[in-house]
Amino acid sequence: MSIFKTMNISATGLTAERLRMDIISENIANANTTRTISGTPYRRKMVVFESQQKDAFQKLLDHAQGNQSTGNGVEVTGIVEDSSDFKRIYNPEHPDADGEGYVLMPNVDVVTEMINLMTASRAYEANVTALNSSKAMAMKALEIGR
Amino acid sequence: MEGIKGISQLLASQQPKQDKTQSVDFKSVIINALESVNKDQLEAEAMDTAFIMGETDNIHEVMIASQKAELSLSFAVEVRNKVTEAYKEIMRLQM
Repeated sequence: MSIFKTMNISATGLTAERLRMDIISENIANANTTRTISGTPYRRKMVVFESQQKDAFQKLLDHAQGNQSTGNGVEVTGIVEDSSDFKRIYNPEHPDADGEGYVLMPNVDVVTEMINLMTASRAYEANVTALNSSKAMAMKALEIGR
Repeated sequence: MEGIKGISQLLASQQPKQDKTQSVDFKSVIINALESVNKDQLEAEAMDTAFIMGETDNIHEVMIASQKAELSLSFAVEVRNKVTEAYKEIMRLQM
């Protein structure tokens, strides 16, 4: 049903924003992590969103059937690492300090992460609002002729 | 105009056989609709159970499933109301 399609699209948005929230939380949690399996400090992670489009055949089929072709929402196609340089701060007491007393810290900027966190949370709310509106629309349709 | 034409055609061809096939069609339509409503309900219930058992942590999926079930149920109830209304209207006909 087409009413439920709106809901499914909103659901993909909610899932994507939740994953983004997970990644941001991980970045904040690891803002001071100097050790990882690969031996380097923690690298900031970012999510890549991609809109779920129908393939060419599905588009043609929809066109032939006279349906308007819409997308299927958003999907997270990958989690990539930020390749910017690590912060190098002077802290000779740190166990991971080099010979000159400098430590490589993760390339996580907590302020940026907080802003991303707010964006993700607001985007989640926006998707919930869209979902509620589509439900309100459906409920209004049931009142036709009452 | 189209509707009136349709009714006159229906009156002209009053064959018991056609009536029977049409009633079967209506029945299957209702049954299919109820089955899809039931499927939504079962899906929502399965999601609830999975959430309570800790198998899923997608709260929004659970909520959306229950919203879908609620919507399809109220749609079915609304259709039922309309059908019973039509039935009552016909039963009130004065011969």
